Amino acid sequence: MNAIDSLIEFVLLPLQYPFMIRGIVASVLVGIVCSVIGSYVVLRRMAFYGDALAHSILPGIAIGYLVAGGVNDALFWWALVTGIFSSLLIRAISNTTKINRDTAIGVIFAGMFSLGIALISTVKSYSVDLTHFLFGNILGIDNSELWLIAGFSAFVLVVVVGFYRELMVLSFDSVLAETLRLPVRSLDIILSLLIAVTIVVSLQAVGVALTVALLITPAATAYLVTKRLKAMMLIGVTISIFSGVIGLYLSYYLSIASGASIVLSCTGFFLFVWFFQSIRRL
Amino acid sequence: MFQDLKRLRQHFSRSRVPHHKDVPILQVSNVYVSYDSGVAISDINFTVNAGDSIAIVGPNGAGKSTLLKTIAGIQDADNGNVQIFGHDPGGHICIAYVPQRKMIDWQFPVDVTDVVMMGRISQIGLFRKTSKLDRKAVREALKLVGMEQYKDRQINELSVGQQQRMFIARALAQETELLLMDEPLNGLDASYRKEIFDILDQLKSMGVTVLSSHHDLDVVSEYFEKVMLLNNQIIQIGMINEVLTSENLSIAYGTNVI
Repeated sequence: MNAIDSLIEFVLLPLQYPFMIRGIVASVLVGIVCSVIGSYVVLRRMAFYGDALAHSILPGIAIGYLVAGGVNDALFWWALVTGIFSSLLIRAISNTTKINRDTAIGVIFAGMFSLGIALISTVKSYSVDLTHFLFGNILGIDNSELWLIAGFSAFVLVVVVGFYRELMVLSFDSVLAETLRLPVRSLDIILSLLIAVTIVVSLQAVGVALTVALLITPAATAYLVTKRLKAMMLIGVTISIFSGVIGLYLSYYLSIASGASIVLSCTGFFLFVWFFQSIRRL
Repeated sequence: MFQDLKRLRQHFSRSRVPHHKDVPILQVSNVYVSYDSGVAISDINFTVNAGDSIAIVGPNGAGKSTLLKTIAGIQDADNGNVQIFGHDPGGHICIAYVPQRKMIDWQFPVDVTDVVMMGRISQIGLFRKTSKLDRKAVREALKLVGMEQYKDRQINELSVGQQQRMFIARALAQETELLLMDEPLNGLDASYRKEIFDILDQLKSMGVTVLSSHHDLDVVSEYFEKVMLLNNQIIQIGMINEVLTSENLSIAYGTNVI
């Protein structure tokens, strides 16, 4: 009985803190939406785009921070506007010039990220705040932010369900999408915007620098073991949820940064699956 | 972008242009397409009647793929126009294009049924589930090409011949009337070619019009009756023995090829 008691205590102890519960709920929500959208990101080889878009949101956060003085809701909306702006800007540059998408992404990402750092560096205590923005502060999430995360996650999931087939065809065979007269450009923009919203939703959890990991690592792990898109999404979601919870417990007991420990849990799952697959092939 | 929004509305409402059966299924007039690297096809004029099966042959770089893509509406023509049943291709979903093997990501997490069901996407529409009719169309298409037993296979587990049959099934599920195939026999040995020819016969009996491109003249003469000889321009289109004359071939391929 002692072992069970101590296990129960191990599980329950962190839950006496409301910030832990909020953190767990947030990480589960973020994990779900990230691995669903992340499946498209992985299959369409858009990892660099995802990473760059997350970084390019920094000036939005900085402005929100300077204007609203640390009210988290404001940061969310500023981040959202900046994310959508960057995503459309990258599109516009690659569509209207001979510069390809990757290069346009690189130019905008580095420029926007630097603008963010420049803005934040005008504040005295900037290194502490910058750390939060870069690596997340999931245990600092308040109730109203949680509602924003829940609302936008639900929105993203509804759009994905509605456009599931269309987005699958677009990703698998854009020529078919074109011959069937699907609105290819609109769909492409919708997906870019969904990625932008997903990134903003996950910023609080893991920050600008690590968001790409939540987006692609669980989806990539699921990709290794599945043959169908739906299964890939569901397995990705499961891995994300476990990673979120395990990560937060590790963070609590080992006193390590929460964003990093969530991402490391995801990476752990990936390495585990990859390792066993490699052994089976031998 | 405006056109794209029109497509979005069309896709949502599932509205389509009606077919007029008294006009040719395909009419190509004065089509001219160029890339940065130069002219791909020019001065293309021909009509195809419903039910025809025409092989497009010509040397590498003759513009075979470009022509098929222009008809499918994937490639915009710089000049001239393509009409399907007397209309712009824009409102039609009856054109199917079977891509070249190398254009497909075979590791994509979809099975054969998923891919064939993609042909039904315009009939299904947005925010809707597949109907009994959709599932029946997919089942029958798979049966017609003899792929029923492979319906749950991931696409990477198929042979080259099976991959081609899957895409033909997708076109059938789409209820296509004009099937465009880019090098469908590429990489297939004689027995697989026979399978594809059998399916082409079946399509013909169903009244489906087929345009396919080929680079191997021997294979073409094995099966096709009607041929278009192309080298940036149409050299001739008609019955195979009239078109593939040594004179025409030397125009298309340069002298002394055969």
